[in-house]
Amino acid sequence: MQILVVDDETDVRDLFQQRFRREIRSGELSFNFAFSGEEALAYLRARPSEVLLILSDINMPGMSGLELLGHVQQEGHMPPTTMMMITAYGDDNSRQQALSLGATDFLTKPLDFAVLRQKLQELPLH
Amino acid sequence: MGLLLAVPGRAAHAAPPALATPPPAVSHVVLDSLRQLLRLPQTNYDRVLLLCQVSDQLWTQRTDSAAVYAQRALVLARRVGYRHGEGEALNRLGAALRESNLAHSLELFQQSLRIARATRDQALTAQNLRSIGIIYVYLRDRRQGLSYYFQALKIGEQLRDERRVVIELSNIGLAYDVFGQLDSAQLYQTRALALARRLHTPTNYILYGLGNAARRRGEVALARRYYRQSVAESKKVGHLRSLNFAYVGLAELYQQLGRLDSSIYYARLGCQAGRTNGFLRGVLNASTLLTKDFKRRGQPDSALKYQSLVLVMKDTLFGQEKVMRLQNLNYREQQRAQQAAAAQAALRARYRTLALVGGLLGLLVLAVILARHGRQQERARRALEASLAELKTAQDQLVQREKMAFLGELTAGIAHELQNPLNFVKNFAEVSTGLVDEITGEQRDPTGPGPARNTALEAEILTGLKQNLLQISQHGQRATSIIKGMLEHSRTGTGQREPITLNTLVSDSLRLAQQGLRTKDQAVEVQVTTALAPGLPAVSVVPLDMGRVLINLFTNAFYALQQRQRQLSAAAADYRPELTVSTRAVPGGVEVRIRDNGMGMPAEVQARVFQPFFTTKPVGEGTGLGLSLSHDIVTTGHGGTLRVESREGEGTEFILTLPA
Repeated sequence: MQILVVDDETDVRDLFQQRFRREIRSGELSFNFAFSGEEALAYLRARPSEVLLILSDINMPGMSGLELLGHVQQEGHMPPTTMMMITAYGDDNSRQQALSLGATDFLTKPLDFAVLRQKLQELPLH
Repeated sequence: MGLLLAVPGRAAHAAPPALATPPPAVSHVVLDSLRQLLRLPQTNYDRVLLLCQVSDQLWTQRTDSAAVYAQRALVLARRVGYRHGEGEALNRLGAALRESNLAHSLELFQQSLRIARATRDQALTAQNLRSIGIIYVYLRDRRQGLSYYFQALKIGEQLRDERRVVIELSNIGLAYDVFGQLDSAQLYQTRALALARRLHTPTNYILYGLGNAARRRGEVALARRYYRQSVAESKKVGHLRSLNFAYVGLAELYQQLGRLDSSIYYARLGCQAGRTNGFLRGVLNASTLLTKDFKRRGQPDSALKYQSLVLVMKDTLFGQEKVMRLQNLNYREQQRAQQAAAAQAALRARYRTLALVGGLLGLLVLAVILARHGRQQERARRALEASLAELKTAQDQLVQREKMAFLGELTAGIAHELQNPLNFVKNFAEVSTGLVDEITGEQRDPTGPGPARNTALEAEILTGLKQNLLQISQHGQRATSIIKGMLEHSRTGTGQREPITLNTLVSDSLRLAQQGLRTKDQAVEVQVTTALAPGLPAVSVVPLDMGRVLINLFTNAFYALQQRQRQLSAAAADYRPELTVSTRAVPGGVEVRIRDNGMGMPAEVQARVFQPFFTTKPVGEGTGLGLSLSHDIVTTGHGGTLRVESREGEGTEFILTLPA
């Protein structure tokens, strides 16, 4: 399963690669990384239908995670993609907003990777 | 005994101006027409004056009739409350009674004078002064008589009433004649005559006076001529009194010359005229002459007859009782005056006492008021001091609150900053634990190649471990520097100025403000544009203070943007909150511009943004001190400027300049 992680913190790449080392090695999961909303959108446009799950931070300089979510939903040529939003501010308001914009799930920082792994396994597309 | 000269109290021409002065030649005609007028309907006031005029006309002929009319005028005037008329009538009555009752006459004149003075009637005042003067001349009181005459003259001159002046001059001349001052008598009568001729007024008395003066000088022919002229004129105007005077003058002249027959002849004529008129003094004068004449001629019978007449006259005129009454009256008048003066003095004294007591009371009241006022003021002062102290405390608390609010914002930003590196540290540590487990075989992959060691995998794990440890170290370092920054920010007290790179401070402050904003309102996504000019000169600032100013400006900008977005959220899909930060070198320093496209501010808000405690935020959200303190830090703390440019609905720009 192709997963795109969007976060302005570059170190998340190392973290994800370490955390999902075994899944990556077994080819179960494949991670790609974008460090801004704009970069993520460009990546998605370049590789339509490859990515099945997007994990995006909300608070980023420039295009925010929610805006990215909006664009992904609007651009109909892309297949339905599951989007999980990640934010440091786990309040209800943000959760509601994200879900109303079409997000599948909502995760708060710091990420609990056990929970994330669990969620990934339960995804219907899996 | 000496001559007693009667002087006219009043002449027809001195009538009130409301009624025309009659020509002298037609006095009886005038009298008839006046009586005619009295039969016609008229106002009471006019009637009073008319009656007075009739009295005037009668006075020269029959004083008892004159008295009757004057009495009628007085009664009417008093009935209708006509003060001026009352005064006029009193004067007429006094003049008419002067022969028969000198004392009463003086009393009436004095009453009239009081009315005249009370009503500020100058003409009537002069009239009474003359009338009273005549009485004093009768009484041979030279000083008083002349004093009254000259007062009357003065008023006449002030009033420019030349007819009146003629009479006063003539009276003064006659008075000087009585008192034997012939030159003065001559002088005044000459002046009177000249003026009377010019005015065409009667000269009967003046001619008599001039005759007297001539006689005393021994100018017989001249004296006789003047007397005869006076006789002629007196007859012409029907003035029995002056006729009496003129006849008596002639009689005296002839007596001096020893022509007793002629003297007796004229004295008898004079006596007759005086009797007709009721002019006792004139009759007395004539009778005295006749007594002398008859005695000289050796006719004791006739002499005795006139002698007894003289005695009767004298008795009437100078009766002991009357003199007493007169003296009494005079005394009474003096007493009255003294009483009035005493009363006035007493009143003055009373007023003084009252004023003194009043003043004392006032002072007492004032003292009490002042004391009370003082106490109140003291209380007010204490209350003011107390509230001032409270205010100061409140102000201090507010300043403290603002600092805390600022620190709170800062802390929120810093906390968020710390969260990320700590997460990484935690995660990399956990991942590393997993890697070590893998090597030690506890979680060895069951699908792997069994107990045999996978060296490739081991190498990969070790590389990962080293990488993780590096990450942990790096993020630990990151956390350390954040905390160091926070400590710098929270360090209180004396901030030392140090040269800094402005762009760095601006970026750091912006980042902190953004972090702070995210902790508060995650819904605002602001497009931040920075245009920081490279190569700016170093500026010397207190970094903590200036950072605080910048954070405050950024926070305000974000707030404005958030407000606008909140207000427009429904309709404005095309609104993008934007914040532009730029730095550049300006002559003598550097400039920072922080512009937002938020709400903007109306002019009245712009004018007050730097005032302490001014805020547009809802109660509880702002202290109103942020911009005030910022302004203070920039201007007084750093010698820079902080100003605002804003358009409502378009946005706001804060411009901060600092000297290089």
